[in-house]
Amino acid sequence: MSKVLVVDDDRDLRAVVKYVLVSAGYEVTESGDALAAFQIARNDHLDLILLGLAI
Amino acid sequence: MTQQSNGLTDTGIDPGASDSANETIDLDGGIFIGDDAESVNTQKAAVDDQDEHSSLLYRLVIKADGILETELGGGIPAGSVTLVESSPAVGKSVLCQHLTYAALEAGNHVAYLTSKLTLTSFVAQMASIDLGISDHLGAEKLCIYPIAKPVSADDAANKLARLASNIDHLATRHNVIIVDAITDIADRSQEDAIMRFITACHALNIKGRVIIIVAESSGFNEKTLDNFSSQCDIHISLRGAKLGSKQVNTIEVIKARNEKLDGSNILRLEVRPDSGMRILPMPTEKHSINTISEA
Repeated sequence: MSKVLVVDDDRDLRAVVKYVLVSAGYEVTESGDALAAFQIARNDHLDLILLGLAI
Repeated sequence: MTQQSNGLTDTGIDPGASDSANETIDLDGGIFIGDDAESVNTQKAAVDDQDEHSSLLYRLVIKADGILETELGGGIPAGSVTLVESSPAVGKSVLCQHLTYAALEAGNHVAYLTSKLTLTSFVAQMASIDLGISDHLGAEKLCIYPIAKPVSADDAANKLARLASNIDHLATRHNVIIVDAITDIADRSQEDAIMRFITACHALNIKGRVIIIVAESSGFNEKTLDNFSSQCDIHISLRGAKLGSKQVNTIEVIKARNEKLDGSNILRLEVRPDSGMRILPMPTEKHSINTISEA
């Protein structure tokens, strides 16, 4: 299963994007801030990162 | 506890406004806690025993259209504290009304603590989403306790501190207690007071009760919500955002049985004025992203 990291400081947007991705069969990790996202990216094997521009 | 002239006590709960005799209501149908009569009776017996280590599990089963069932996170165990946090206008109060209804249907006694609703408005809201209750009035299974709104930040902190104590002193028959919503009593500036309240609920929740605390999450940062969540056994999150031209609302069980889940327990929900909350099941066949966003 492909793993996607969703990074955005908008919790609502993150949840909806996560729902869409989970529904489509992806494994989803999320983060609300850039530093935590870097940590996840270092530790996990990710196939895709969706990064909010404003983050 | 002193009685104020407006009928509210200095502890925040208004016993005079509760539904003691003729204001007690019972509900039926819709979303269920508990699978069948046998399990409900077993659960009730366990609650009556007040076994704080009971493995009792109120299954949170949400029925969509009476046909589709989806289980979120396994259930709500007795002796647990559940946090329901939500963005504005996504449906936290409607969810609580469904949970109230489900709990009553399963034979439990519910105390509903609210700063917004009276018994009359609660009954009206339930009726508006087709959760009929009129047949069950008088069963003394549900009490609505209005909570006085604080007049200042200090007052809010004091009220929260006393509220936890008051919950502990509610009639023992109330084995499901819903606080809707804690953020109506204290706003984001009283994070510490809210944290102390949740911690106090967790500490006092030793009588096989289910305590459900509702909070509006806007204004709280991620760390604060994590702190709130850390003190709860179950964490349910409601979110909503526009996806293209569609409003998409989601419900996610982030934590259950005191363990953080893997992130896959997220479902779509709809709230309709005439039928209340409807949980949409996850597609059994994986859809393309376009298909879902256009649904």
